[in-house]
Amino acid sequence: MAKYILKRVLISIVTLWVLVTVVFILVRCMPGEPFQGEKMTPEIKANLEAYYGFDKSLPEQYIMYVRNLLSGDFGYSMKYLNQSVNKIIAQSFPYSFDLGIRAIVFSVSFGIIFGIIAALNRGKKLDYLCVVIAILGTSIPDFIMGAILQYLFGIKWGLLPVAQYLGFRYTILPAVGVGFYTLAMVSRLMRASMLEVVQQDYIKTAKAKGLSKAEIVCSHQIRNAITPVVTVLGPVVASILCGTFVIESIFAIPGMGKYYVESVQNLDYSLVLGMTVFYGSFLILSNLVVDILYGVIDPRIRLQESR
Amino acid sequence: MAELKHEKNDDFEIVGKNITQMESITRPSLSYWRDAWRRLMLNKIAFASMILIGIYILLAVFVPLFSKYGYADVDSEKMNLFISSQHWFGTDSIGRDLWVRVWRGARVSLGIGFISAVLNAVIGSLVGGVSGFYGGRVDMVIMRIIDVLYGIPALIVTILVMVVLGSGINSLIIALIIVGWIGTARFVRGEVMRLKDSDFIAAAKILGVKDFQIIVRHILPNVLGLIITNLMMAVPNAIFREAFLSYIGLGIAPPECSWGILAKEGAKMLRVYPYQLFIPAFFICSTMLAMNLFGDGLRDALDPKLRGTE
Amino acid sequence: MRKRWTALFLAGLMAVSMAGCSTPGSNVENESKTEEGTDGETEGGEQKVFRYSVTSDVSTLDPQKNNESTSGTIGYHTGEGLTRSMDGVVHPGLAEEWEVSEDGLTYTFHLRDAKYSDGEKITAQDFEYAMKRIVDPKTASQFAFIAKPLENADEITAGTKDVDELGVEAVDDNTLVCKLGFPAPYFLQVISMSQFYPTREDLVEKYGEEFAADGDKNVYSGPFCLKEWKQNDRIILEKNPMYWDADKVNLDRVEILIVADENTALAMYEAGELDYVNVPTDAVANYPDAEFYKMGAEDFIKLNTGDGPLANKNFRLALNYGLDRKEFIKLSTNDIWEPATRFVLPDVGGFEGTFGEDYPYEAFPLEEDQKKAEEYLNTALKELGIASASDITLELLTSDLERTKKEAEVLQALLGEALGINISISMIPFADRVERENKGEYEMVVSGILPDYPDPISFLESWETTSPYNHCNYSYEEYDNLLQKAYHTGDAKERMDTLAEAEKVFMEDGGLVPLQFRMNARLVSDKVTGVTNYFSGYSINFIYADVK
Repeated sequence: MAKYILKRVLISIVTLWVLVTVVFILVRCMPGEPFQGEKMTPEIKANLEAYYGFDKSLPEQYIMYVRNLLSGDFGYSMKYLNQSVNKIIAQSFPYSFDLGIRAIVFSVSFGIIFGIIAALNRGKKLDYLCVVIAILGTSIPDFIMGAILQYLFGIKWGLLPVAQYLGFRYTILPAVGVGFYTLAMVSRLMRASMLEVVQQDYIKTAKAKGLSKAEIVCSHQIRNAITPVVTVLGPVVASILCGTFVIESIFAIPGMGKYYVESVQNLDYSLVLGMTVFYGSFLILSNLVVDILYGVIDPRIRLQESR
Repeated sequence: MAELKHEKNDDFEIVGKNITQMESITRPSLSYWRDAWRRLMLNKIAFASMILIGIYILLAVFVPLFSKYGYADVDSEKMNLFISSQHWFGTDSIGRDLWVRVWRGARVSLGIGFISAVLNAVIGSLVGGVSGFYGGRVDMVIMRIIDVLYGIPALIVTILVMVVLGSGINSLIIALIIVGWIGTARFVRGEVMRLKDSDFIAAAKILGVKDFQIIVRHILPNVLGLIITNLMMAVPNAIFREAFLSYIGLGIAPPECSWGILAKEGAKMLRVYPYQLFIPAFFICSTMLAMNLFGDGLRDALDPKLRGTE
Repeated sequence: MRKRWTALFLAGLMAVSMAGCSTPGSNVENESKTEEGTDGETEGGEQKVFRYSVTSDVSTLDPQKNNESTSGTIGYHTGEGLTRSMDGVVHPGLAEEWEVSEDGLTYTFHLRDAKYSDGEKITAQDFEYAMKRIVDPKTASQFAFIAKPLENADEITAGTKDVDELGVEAVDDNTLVCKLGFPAPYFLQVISMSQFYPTREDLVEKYGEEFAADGDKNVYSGPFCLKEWKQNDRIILEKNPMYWDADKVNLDRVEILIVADENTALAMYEAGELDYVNVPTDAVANYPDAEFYKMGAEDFIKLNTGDGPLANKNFRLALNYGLDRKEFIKLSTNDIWEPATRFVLPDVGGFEGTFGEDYPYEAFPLEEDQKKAEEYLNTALKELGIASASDITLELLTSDLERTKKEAEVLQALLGEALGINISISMIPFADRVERENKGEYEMVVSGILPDYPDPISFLESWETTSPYNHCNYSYEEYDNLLQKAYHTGDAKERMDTLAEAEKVFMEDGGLVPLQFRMNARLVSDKVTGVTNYFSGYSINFIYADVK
């Protein structure tokens, strides 16, 4: 197992390097100019390019960037002058992370419960209720969801704060807004997966052994059914944690998602790169964790890997 | 049931002895699909959903063709009109008829949703299946490529594709595919890895069935249910992503519209003219509902283990 | 049945324990956030606090690098130049008085005794340093062009002359002399901008790249100090007790929240969380109390006159007469913005009153003139050798903003209907649009100008043949001559007359299709008085605001 993990970590590092390189090139391929302005004379532009080192050749810039990256320096934003990318990430990530954790806890716990309830009551009213909730979640785009939540709870009924992120009460609407889609997805997958597992031989064996229904459900069915859910969760977790642009902008939360989309639109090369590398390493890390978890949860894969 | 008997009668045919066929443990695939279809028809909810989607498709095709209003006709006399006999869904902020725009948008949304979801599922299953089935080095290489692709922000890829190909429906679909197949591939890989160690695959291997046959006859039917559930999720996903791209302003070129664009324009009017949001939102939701229920029905119908349980 | 519920209970327990596990870490952070929030509020009970929101974070608070209007507004309140421009009128700022030489080329400023927020004296040398820093290629300020009137400014920015050759000199601690390269009556307006605020060399050197990156990394010469700047979240200003005119400042604290979604900001205003808000145009109908003011920006269809039908003057005039501006405004902005029938914003300074008062002008009718449009179109078609208008297809470039998209859709429908030509919309990201516009790779683009200083030249200069900002291949000798004349005359009245004539000449040539002057609708809480708006230098002015 240790060897397997080490191998995965090494591969992840290589992946990260490829990612940095690819994105470095991609960002430069994007059409448009980072230095915008109606009154941008060639002289001013040349000064700006020199200032950010864009007058050097691309390979030189690349080497410089990677060297800085190794020392943990993402450089300075080109839109938010004087602000280092490190600082921007350090300031915005905690918000996205906090919101993300809440959204994940909300969506995964309720999603799994709904999935289990639906599967155990297959074809009955409770099943349909869960299915309807799940479908509502997957069928409303987040910007509609966010706008409606904010309108109903914030403006019309005045139950919860309209925007900002200053305490628990402020986190409820955005967390629901971010998590509802995932909740629906998790519950559907869980339901499908539970039904899949019911058919398996080891459940029959367990029944034959005379285990109680509760024991079968808890120790065999749920445990095995969670596997496909975990696979899907890895990337979802990372993307939620790095912020969802729409919800963050509707609820005026200073998270990463907002910066990210904005930086792409502004062609803020260093910010796009910095955020992508950060986001990418987060994804790669979470995939790594999922792969390892996968081995822990599913005994058969663990066996195969150790062979 | 009468119909069924009739079918069965047609199916029977004297084929004579054939050693190779007797040895192989494949079954006629025709009857598998036919059986699935029969079970799908028996599922009332799935059937109704299918009809609803059918109706939407028909409306999307014909309403824009025969309406007296054009989807891009602006009219300053008719701004923000509520639902009336003249304008069945009212008009938008620049006086365009929403009934026509909803169905014009349906073409785009449904088109993008179906095409990209199907292509995603096909590409994703192929890659994921190969990766999971062969494992080892092939799996390693494919998974590494997937990891890298996954790390590249969808937004950048989408913008690049949209700009290289010009903003439009085709480039949107391509952009969605480039980003979208990866999820399916990861998922299918996991399933295949799980399945390939199961006893019936081992049995097939022992009997010397070729890899291709194993994939098509044994693994595919077993993962198909999950792939289809996944595909049904991918349709709303694609419609959502299109809506998200519209939200940040990277959708299709105006005055063309989609449900996502209509909903986005409506969301801004939520407090003043709520119908402008609720109408497109209703169609997005009902389509998703139908897709999901139909997907459920299909999943059950296609699940080989549920055969004959009805 | 009971067993099933046990399972559910277990699953539920699992979920709850998960929630229990993951919240504490974030709770700590959250509590500190809440504390900060309530802290401000409890103090605010005794203090006079004004709260409003902006849609995007400021890009920088480094005075010389300042490059957009929100930065300008914050700068306006935290710093002060030699002059202070208020509602377009120049008042003495840190300079108590000044003399201008006969030829309009030499300005001598006498500074008042004033201090920075840290108690240090504000000296003429700080102004000299600031001006040199703007044009220095090493600073790489996007706004380097703003110093253009100063002698040798452009050459220094281009790297052909040394920074020390800039036409500015601190004679002593309290006297500053500026030498201009050409007579520019708007120079007094220009130096009221934040790029010209006194800047401390010692701090720039101390903080380097991080200069002004946080509240404590700069000192302030204006009515307020930057207390806190939480990126993309909030900017907190506090009264600057060292400001020379601090007695007139009533507010103790200003909270500027960054709220991207205008509808959210409106909701926050209604919930009493903001004292001032701009109402999004779609919602204005619901707020009869909203007050309107001009944002100062003008939008127009920029025409690439290089080749094709748009190189033809008659065709351009056909576009101008064929467009029903009244209809356009009604459709695209619900009658809230003002249709533009001339090019120069009438509110910029004229000779005596505003430019609009001094030189009233309507280049094109408010509603379409079908007859004239057809005449011009037919002549144009003949000249171009095109059989029918429907053979012409023009590309209209637009960015992906909701507003510009809607404008393009309306223009497509209106112009297509009026002239029978085809217009295809090409929608691309904003950054891409700007690049294509600046490279001249377009036929028509909906573009806009927000004047840097309230002078007609802000609008007119970009269409001169040799202008570095001329991205539309426009070249018209008569127009060029008039502009050159205006640049070199020392007589203010003659200059204005010439500029007015240039505008006329330009419009009669159909140089572009003016569309609209942008308006804002604002709501201000009953508690707050004295908040004003203007379009140049700042968008909102709360220096003399008060809270009941």
